[in-house]
Amino acid sequence: MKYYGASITRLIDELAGLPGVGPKSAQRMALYLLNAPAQVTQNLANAMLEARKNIRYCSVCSNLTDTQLCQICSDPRRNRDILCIVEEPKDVSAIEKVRGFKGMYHVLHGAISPRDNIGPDELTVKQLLKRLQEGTIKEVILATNPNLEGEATSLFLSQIIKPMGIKVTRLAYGLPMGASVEYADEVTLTRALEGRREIE
Amino acid sequence: MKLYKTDALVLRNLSRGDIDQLLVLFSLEYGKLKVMAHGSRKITSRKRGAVQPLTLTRFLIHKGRYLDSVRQCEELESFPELFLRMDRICYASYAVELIENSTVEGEANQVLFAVLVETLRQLGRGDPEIIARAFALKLITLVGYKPVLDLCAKCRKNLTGKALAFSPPAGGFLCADCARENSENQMVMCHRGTLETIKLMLAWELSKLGQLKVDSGTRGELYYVLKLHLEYHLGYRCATEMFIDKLRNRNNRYNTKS
Ligand SMILES: [Zn+2]
Ligand SMILES: [Zn+2]
Repeated sequence: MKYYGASITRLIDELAGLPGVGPKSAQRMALYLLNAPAQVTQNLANAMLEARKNIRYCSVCSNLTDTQLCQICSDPRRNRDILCIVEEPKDVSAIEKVRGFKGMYHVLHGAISPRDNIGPDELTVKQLLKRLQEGTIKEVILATNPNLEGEATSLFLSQIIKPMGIKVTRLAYGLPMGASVEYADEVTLTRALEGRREIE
Repeated sequence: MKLYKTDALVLRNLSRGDIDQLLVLFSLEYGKLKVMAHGSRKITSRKRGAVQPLTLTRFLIHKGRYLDSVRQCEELESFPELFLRMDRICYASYAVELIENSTVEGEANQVLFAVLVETLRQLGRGDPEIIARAFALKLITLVGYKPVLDLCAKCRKNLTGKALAFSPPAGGFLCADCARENSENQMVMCHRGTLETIKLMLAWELSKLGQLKVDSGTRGELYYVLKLHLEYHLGYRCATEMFIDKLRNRNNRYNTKS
């Protein structure tokens, strides 16, 4: 892509470094930005710089926010008895989208990974324990991913939270929509059977 | 179109893009392999369960020009008991990390493959720490780093006496006299009991070792002997081992606090 000139090539390279963006999409985005009115590019650049400058972690739940307390933590209508623990900020937005959950969140910013030597002290576990010791929370929902790291994280957390007298539950994993029983793996099927419910 | 079939243990899966994964496998027929599993992170993917680490899977693989890719896969055995306890997850991770870092791509080692699968089964039943140490000993023997156990590695005399030492550069155990002379080299002091436990671990089947009673002093010495030996031969520090140490220190810290 040398024939574009240095500054355009640089823009394409920067865009191609973003997650999920291949060289072709990067080229399309770059050309779009260059052909669009100058204000469009200006707005985008400003939005990126501003978000970057203002972003911080909520002092309670560790989610990304631009205020000291995030929107959820400062909402008086949320149920403070129940806490949902997730790995990443994007998991909060996924659960919020379904609107079924009205409790609070805690964002770990990762998961325990023995192979990568990532333990509880590399996550926001200390902040979590401080919250739980305050005594308001009655139930914790472990919503970590159903993979090795997510399972290790849930196991570790349930071992330290249960002795505190707090109810601990794990998200039920069943068969995903569109999957077939025939192709389900052993672990998924076992979980789906355990988490079965009565049909009304 | 070139396709081949192999049974393999999934050592690791690394996210690539939004829905793909790069798998590191230890296969029965071809040893260590790196293959792409396209679309395996999609929630409806049929491959999803079978490409999770610590799963024994039958793969049908398409030979690519640069990288091979999974065409079909079917789970043969998962080890659900591993996920019930933190120490089991830790030592299973330790085993697969050692396999990944001590084997060469494309070189089959069918005995080692069988040892790994049996280790994952036994980790869910017996004492995970002991199973993991026995696994590491069998592994170093099978990849060609077996330490000298019958004689002093330096003077070649019989190992008499209770106090011994272990030195990876010397190639194994040392008698008390040689240990004194070797004091500047990498070495751990240990008791005869540790040497006897090592011999037992190499001779016995894993299924028998899960019930073996080992005191905490011997456990400690086994830890240092294996750590030193693996670091010397593999040239790196095992990340999972560092994690296990860190978690143990953390637990001790919390237990003494309360
Ligand atoms: Zn918050
Ligand atoms: Zn000697």
